[in-house]
Order: sequence, then C-alpha cells, then structure tokens
Amino acid sequence: MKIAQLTMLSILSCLLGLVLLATYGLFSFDEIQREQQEASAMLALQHRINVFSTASDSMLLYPPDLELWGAYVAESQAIEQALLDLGATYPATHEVVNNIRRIRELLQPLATAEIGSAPHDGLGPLALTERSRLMLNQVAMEGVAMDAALGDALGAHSSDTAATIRRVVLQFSAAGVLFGAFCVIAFLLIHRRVTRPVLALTHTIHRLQSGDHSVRAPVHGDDELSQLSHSFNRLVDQVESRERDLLKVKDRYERAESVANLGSWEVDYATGVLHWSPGVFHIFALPEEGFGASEQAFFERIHPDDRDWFARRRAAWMEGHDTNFDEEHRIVRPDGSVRWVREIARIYYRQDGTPDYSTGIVQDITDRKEREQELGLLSARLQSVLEGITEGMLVIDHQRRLQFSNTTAATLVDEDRKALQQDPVRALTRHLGDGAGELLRQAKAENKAAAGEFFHPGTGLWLEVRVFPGEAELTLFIRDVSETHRAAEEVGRTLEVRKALINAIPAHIALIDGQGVIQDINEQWRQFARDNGFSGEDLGLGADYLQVCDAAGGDGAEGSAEMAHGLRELLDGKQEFFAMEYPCHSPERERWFRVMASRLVADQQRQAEPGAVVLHVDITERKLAERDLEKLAFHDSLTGLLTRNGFERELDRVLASGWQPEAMVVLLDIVGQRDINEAFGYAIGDKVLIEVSRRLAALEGAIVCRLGGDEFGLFVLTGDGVTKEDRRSSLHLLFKPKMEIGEYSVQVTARCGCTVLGGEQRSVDSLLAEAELALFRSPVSDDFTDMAWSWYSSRFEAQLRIREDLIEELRRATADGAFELHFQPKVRLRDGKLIGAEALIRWPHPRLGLQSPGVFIPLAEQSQLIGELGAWVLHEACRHLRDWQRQGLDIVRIAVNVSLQQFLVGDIVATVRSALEENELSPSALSLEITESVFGGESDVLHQKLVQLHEMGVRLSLDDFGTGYSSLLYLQRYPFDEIKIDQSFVKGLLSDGYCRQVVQTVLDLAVVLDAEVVAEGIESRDIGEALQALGCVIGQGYYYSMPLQSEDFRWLLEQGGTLPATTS
Amino acid sequence: MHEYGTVRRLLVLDDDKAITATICTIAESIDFEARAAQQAAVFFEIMEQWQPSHVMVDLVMPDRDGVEVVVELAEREFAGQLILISGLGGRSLEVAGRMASEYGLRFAGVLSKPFKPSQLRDLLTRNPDTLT
Repeated sequence: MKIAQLTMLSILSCLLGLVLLATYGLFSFDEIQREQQEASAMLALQHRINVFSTASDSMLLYPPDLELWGAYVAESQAIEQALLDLGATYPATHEVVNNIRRIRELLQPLATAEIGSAPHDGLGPLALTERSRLMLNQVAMEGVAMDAALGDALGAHSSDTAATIRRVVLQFSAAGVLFGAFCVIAFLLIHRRVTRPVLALTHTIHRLQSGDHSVRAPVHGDDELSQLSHSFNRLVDQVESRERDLLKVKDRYERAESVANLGSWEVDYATGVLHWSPGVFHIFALPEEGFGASEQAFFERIHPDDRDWFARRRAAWMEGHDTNFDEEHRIVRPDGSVRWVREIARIYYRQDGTPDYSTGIVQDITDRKEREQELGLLSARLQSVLEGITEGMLVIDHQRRLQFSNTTAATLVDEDRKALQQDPVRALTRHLGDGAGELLRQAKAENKAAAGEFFHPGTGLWLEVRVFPGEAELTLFIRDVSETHRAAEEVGRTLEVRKALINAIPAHIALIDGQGVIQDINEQWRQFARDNGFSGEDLGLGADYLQVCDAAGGDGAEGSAEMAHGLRELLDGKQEFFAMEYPCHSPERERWFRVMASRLVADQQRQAEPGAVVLHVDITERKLAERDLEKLAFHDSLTGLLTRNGFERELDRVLASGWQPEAMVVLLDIVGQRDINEAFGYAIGDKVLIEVSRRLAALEGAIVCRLGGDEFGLFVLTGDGVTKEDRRSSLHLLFKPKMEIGEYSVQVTARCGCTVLGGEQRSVDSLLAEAELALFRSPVSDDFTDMAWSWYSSRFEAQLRIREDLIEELRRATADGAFELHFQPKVRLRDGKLIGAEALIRWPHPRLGLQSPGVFIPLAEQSQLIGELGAWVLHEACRHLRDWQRQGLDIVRIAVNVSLQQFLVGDIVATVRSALEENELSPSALSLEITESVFGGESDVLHQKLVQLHEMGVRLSLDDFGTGYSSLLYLQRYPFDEIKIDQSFVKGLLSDGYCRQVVQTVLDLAVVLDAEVVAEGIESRDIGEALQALGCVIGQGYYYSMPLQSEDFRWLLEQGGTLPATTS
Repeated sequence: MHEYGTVRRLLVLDDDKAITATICTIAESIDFEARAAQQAAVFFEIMEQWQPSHVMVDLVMPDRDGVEVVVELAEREFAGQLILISGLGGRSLEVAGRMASEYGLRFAGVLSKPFKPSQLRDLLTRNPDTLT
C-alpha cells in the first residue's frame, strides 16, 4: 500500500475512532445528565415533602380553613403521584405515600371539625386540646416515618446514579484505550514505512558526502520513499557521471593545455589571488607547490627587456583603455632559458568601474616565434638575395597585380615604384612598348617561358625581359643588355673595320680549313696571286694549300716543304702557332717572307676541324736591314774585323762545340795610338788600325776582333807543337815591321793581356775580363820595339777583390763619416814658429787598423767617393780652423789636399766656397795642396777651376813638386801661391848633390813665380838648417812634429811655443 | 839549414805594430820563435836570413799590396806555411787564399781580424798539406 493510502487510511481511521468516541461520550453525557435531572427531581420532591410535612405540622396547630385544606390535599395527592411514579423503581416511596395518606387522614377530621374546635384564639399549641396533641403525635410519627422512607428512596437513587456514572466512565475509558492502541499501530506502521527509509537515505547522503561514491540508498518495494531513494540513487549516479565527465573534461582540458602549450590564469583583484592552471606552471617551468602565484612573481619571470613595456601595456589595459589584452613577450625560466609567450586576457569590471577580475591564457609560442624568426630571416635573406641579384625581378600574378619587385627591377623599368605597384603590366607596356605586354600574354597563354629585348626610351637602355609562367603568376627577370647590344653593334662595325684592315694589312692572309683548303683570302693575297700569274678567278680560293706547298719548287723549295710540314702539324693540333721565314727570290730581286699560321680555336658548335690563319709578310726590307745591322753589330766598319759582340758570339759558338783548354784569349792595346793620332792625324791613325787588323787577321787559326778604339781581341789555339810562347812570339813578330802608311813609316807596338782557357770552363765574358785584367797589368813601356805582355794571374783577381772590398768599406765609412783629420804643423824655419798646418785624413778602421791615405785615397778616386770624401775633409778642416780661431788661438792657415778627381767630378769651387762661408773663414786662410800628378789629366776644366779658386782668394799649393809631370809650363800657366818640395829631395839634401840642386832650383824658381816654398819631410835639425841656409822659409816634417790629432794640435796652439818642442 | 817542423819560426808582416806584437806573443806561447816586420822589404830580408817555417802576411798594407808579397813569396819559392791576415771579409779572402794555393804556396788559412788567440793557435798548428 502506498504511504499516501496508508496515511489516508490512518487519518480516516482516527477520524472514525474520534467520531465514535465523541458519540459515545455524548451518549454517556446524556445518561449522566438524566441521572442528574432525576436526582434534582428527587431533591425537589424531597423539598416538597419537607414543605408538606411542615404544612401538616402547622395545620395541627392552626386548623386549616377549607381552601387551605383543599391545597393541602392537592399537594398531598401530587406528592403521592410523584411518589407513586417513583414507586416502580423505589418501593420505599410507597411507604411514604402511605404515610402521607395517613397524615392527611389524621388531619382530615380536623378539616371537618373546624366549627367546634376554634382553638385558635391565640392560646397556641399549648392550648391544644388533647386530641390535637394525640393527633400531632400521630402526624409527627407519620412524618418521621415518611422522612425515613424518603431517605431510603433517595439513597437508592444515589446509588443508582453512581453506578451509572461508574459504568459510563469505564466504557469511555475502554473506548479511549482502544483508540489509542489503534493510533499506535497506525504510527508504528507509518514509522516502519517512512522513517526507516528516510534514515537510510540520510545515511547514504552522509556517506556520499564523506566521499563514498559507491554507496546507494536502499530501495524496497515501490512506495514513494523507494521511488525517492531510487530517484536519489539515479540523481547520485547522474551527479557522479557528470563528475566523471567533468574530470574527463578537466583532464582533456589539461591535456589540451599541455598540447597547445597553453595555460590559463585568473586574477581576483579583490583578493589579489592569482590562479594559475598547471599549463602556466609548465610554461614557466615552475613547480606548482613552490610558486607563490602573484603578479609580482609573474613579473619577475618576464624577460628584463620586455618587462618595462609589458608593465606599461598592462597598466594601460588595467586602466580600461582596452579590455582585450593580447601581447607576446619573453619570459625567463628558472634555468635561464628564454621562452616566448603570448598572453591573451580580458578584464572585468565592477559597477563602480574598478577591476573585478581578469582572466587569460598564456601560450608558449617559442617554437612559433623561432619559426617566425627563421621564416623572417629566410624571408629577409630571400629578399636580400633577390635584391642582390643583378637582374631586375618582378612577380606579377594573373590578376595583373604586382607580387614582388626588387630595386633593380624598379631601377630598370620604372623609377616610380608606385606605378609599378599599381599596374605592373601597364608600366612595362608604357616603358618598353606593347611588345612587352605581348610577351607576357604569350608566356601566360602558352604557359612557356618567353624572352624578348626591348628598348627603354626613358633610360636609353636595352632590356632583356625573360618571363617564366607559374601556377598563379608570371616571374619576370629583367637585365640590362645595352652593353651586349652595343657590343653586337660594335662587333658588326668592328668586323667591317677588321675586314678593311685585313685587306689593308701588307700581308697575304688566307683562312684555311682543317684540311688545308683555302677558305678566304684578303686583297693582298689576291694581288700577289695576280702579280705572280696565278690563273683563274678564284686566285687560290678553294685550292689545297698544303698541296701547293708540296708542289712548290725553285728557290723556295726547301722552305715550302718546311712550311707544309709546319702547317700540317698545326692543323693536326700538335702546335698552336707556327712561323718561319723563307726566301722567295725572283730573278729580278731578293725577297723574303715570314709566314705565320695560327690555329683557330675549335668551334664547339660546328664540330668542325679548326682551320688556321696563314699570313705571309714580306720581310725583305727587314732582312736586308738585319743583314746591314748584323754587319754593323758584329763587324767593325773600319777594319772589317768582328766587333766585340761578333767576337763573343763567335767564341760562344766555338766553345759550345767543345772547351779548348789550350786556347788563349789575348787583348791587345796599341801603344801610343793617341800620340799617332795627334802626330799624324786620325786618317793615318785609322790606317794604322787597318794595317794592324790586316796583320792580325793573317794569324793562322785565330779569331780576331776590334774591341773598340785601339783595342783588339784574339782567340788563338795552341797545341800541336805550337806553344803559348810561340803564339806570343808570332804576335810579337807581327808588330816588328814598321808600317808604311802613305808617306809615313810608323813603328807600332802593343800591350797585351792574355789568359789561358785552362781546365776550368768559364764564360766568354769571364775570359775577356781576365784578359783585360792582365792587360791592365802589362807594363807600360816606351820601347816600341818590345811588346809588353802580361799573363793573367789569379792574383789580379785577388787584388781586384781586395780593392772592391776595401771600396765597400770605404763607402760605408764615407757614409758614416768615420774619418779623422790629423794636422801636421808647418813652421817658420827661422824660429820654429808654427804658422799653419797640413790637414791629413786618417781612416781608423775597426778591423784593418789605421789606414793611411796612400791606401784609400786612390780607391776613393777610383770609386767616385773622392768628391764626398774631399768635401768632408774641406768642411772638417775649416770647422777646426774656425774653432781654433774662435778660441783665440794663433793659427794662420790650414792646408787641405785635393785630388784631380775632385776637379773632374762635382763642383769643387762650390764645395770650397760653402766650407769657407759656413765657417766664416777668409779664403786666404785655406790652402789647397794639389799634387803634381793632377797634370797627368790636365784639361781646360782643371785650369778653369784652379783659376776660379785662386780668384776667390784661396791659396793654391803645388804638392810633391819634382816627382811627376813637373813642367815649368804648368808652373807658368797655373797661379800657384806655394810650392812644396817633395820630401825625397829634402831627405837627400845633405847627402845628394842632385837633390840639393833641385831644391836650390825650386827656391830660385819660386822667387821668379812669386810663390812661397815649403820643404816637406824635414827629419833633422841639420836639414832644417841647411834649407834655411838655402833660403827656404817654411818647412814641415817629423823633426818639428808628426801629424797630430786635433786635440793635440790644439794643445800645441795653446802652448804657443816654438817647434820642435823641447823636452826640457 | 834546419828542418821545417822541428824549429818553428813565425815571421809576421803587418803595418800595424800592435797586431804583430800580439801575434808574436801568442805564437811564442806555443813555442814558436816569432819575429815581425812592418814593411815588405824588411820582411823579405828577415825571411831570407832567418828562414821561418811560417809566415803571416796582411793583405792590406799601405806600402805594398799583400797580394804582391804573396806572389813574391811564391817567386822566392817559400816552402813554409802561409797564413793570410785580413780585416776584410767576403770574396777577397777566398780569392786570395785560392790564389796562394794556385801559386804553389802551402796556404794554411786566413786569420780574420779581429781574431781570438785560439784561432791563431789553430792556424799555426795546422798542417796545410792535409787540408782537403
């Protein structure tokens, strides 16, 4: 039964029970009320009876009138009736009735007597007759009996009533108990059916709440609670299912977050709580536990470079400028790695406009960023590559939109990039003409690459446009081909010019093919062919040139064969170039040609055998000139002998076929050729040379040349019984006979230097150098009957090398100024007063020791160093003199030696002047000592310069007088202020009369010339005195002082004493 | 006449007295008799009289070319050992040495100035005939 039915039944039952109970209650109430009414009626009867009794009593005392009686009797009868009604129930009433009746009967008589009896005069009862007292006793007796009976009746009645009430109460109580029991049963039933399932349900809920998701409410039967439990269970199932779904969703979400590298967050601005999803932690690589998620903590993870702008952006966002937030920035993970993230967020505001909360997602976009960057780089690189290519590039899609253009394209097509941008096809057409547009259409229509060249009137350039059609676009490459165009035109023009040139070239030119067949010829060739009688119109064209060569005869036969061979080799590719010279003489004149043939470069396209260009140049004039030149170069025009070059070439040729140790090379120098020329004139001189040549050329087995001037070279063989000395003698003999030149008879002799080839092979140059060295060493002899002869010796070379090394040292020393000046006093012989000094150069060599000028001055002269060295001496001497003068030291003049070379190279006058001016010296303070030997090279220049120096005021001193070319002539011509007598005469003054004579002569001469005389090399007092006696005033020498270093000399000046210094 | 190799005599020709003195001192320290000359004439005079076993000649001298002295030594058929002295380096020494040998002299070597005593001692005690 359903609980509703049960409940309804129970309610109905209870209602019924209540109704029954109420009904019974009402019934009982009525019964009790009746009893109460009965009791009341009896009480009222009792009261009437009592009243009757009283009345009866009263009547005994007061006899009743008739009316009262009648009321009394009525009343007694009513009471009797009432009692009789009760008599059925209560028999005692009968007694009462009887009593009443008997009273009334007793009293009756009274009521009838009434006239007789008037007791009633106020006397009272006590006045009652005795009958009345007897009757009163009877009536009292009857009243008492009646009361007793009435009490009995009343008692009976009360017990009746009590019994009734007791019964009613008992019955009602039983009915109530019954009802209560019923209700208990009903409630128990309801409890069983309602409370227990509810409790079970509650228990289930508790367990569910405590997490036991497996528990379910028990279901019994099919009442409402069961249905409720069932529904509840279903609900729980649904909830659990939803929860599982939710978990799944959550799991899926998290997985999605992880896959998408995504995380979400939420900030509640009221609480400041920042919630991060696991994805965020993952992205930030932070542990979910340790990270106190807060805005600050988040900011600290932002890349320092992004932090500021991000904060600004976020602040702007927060201020509500933009509810949507979508930014990309970098973060730094705890391990230092940098990631790119994208933040998308939205903010929500409260009513009052303050931020409520915001939520957003974070996505790790590092990979994308990297790809983007890579892509960006790639794109930039591509862009730069495309920009970098020298060609212009355009990409135009099929909607005629420009997809790409590089700068070059714009430069080439249209500087106005906008125009190109808007409508590239139109821009192209406008600048390059309709052809360009047509090219594009064609490429697109045929879907095939197309190319064309167009002239750009704007830039004056020729542009080559290549179009490559693609799926959705056309790619154009544009290139400036103006140069190629120009080149092509140039080539065309050049070809014309070349052709004209080739025709104009004074050479016969033919082009032959790989088989030697003449393909083309120039005008010269034609002309030559015509001139030489080739028949036919083609003039050789189409002929096999090799065959022509092979078939050639006559003078050029040999050359022709060689040419044919050379050409064949050329055509076969064995050589690239072939040239030869060949004679082609005609009976009328000599003629030579040079043929040159160049193999043509193989033509890749034609696959044909490359031919060659054959060129014949008339070299007759050159040949003739060469012949003349060779004669000039290798043959001496005067003597007809070989020249030096011819000699060397000839010797090279001879020695190339075998070294000849026994042979010798002789250099021969005609002695006194200069004198002959001067004496007889150059014509005779030349004739002498010709005669010498003739005689030399007559030498058997000798190669003879004229090396130049009066020098001849010979190569002569020895051996086979002919010794070197034999050769020397035969050579000597050649010069023995006098030469008869016209009217003159001239004795000629020669100096010879000779080297023997020997075992060691040397170059012809070396041999000539050796012979030359030997020649220089041959003694100079005035004996014309004897021939001076010198064999080469290795010592010559040793000396030469030593000299070269010394010169090198000298060169270095000159550059370094590594010289010293020493000063030898000149004294007045009379009193030994120091009046001047000769400055002498010294070379203190670190390894060679102190070198005397005798060694190095000649070297300096030979090596052109003398100019520099001489200048140094002049300046140094002047400097010392100035120093001494400034120190107030008494020195009159200083003498410096100068060499002939100084006059010949450089400007000695300027050097002297500068040395004097630089040191502010009077020219007269300087003497230049010039050795007599300078006159060996006497010349106008020397004379001129000496005169200039003299005019300047510089004193000139003739040194070493008496040893060399001394000549009174020189003394007269040159303005010498001083003559130095050579020490050899001075030294021999006392012992040698000749010397004395010389000295005396010089002294006399000096008087005539108005020159001072200085005696050199005075080594003793006696000589000094002797000189003085002869009249010599000034002298120098070791007796007075050796050359002194400048310091010592200065010291001497300071002493101011006379020389020689006495040791005392 | 004495035998070479038994009596060892060194004659030095150099215009620098300091050098000749030094050389003589060093030579004497290894039991040479040593004499010196500053001029070629004196040198040959002594040589003829004294018959040295070794001579040393400076290549560069003011009064006479060292090469000429060497040539004269050859002409005089000097049979002792020849040492050349030179402050010059390079080719001149090489050429001079070769020349001395070509002239048939027993060329023992070159003493380059400046020199160490040991170099001189080596040259003096060297036997040029065994030189390769």
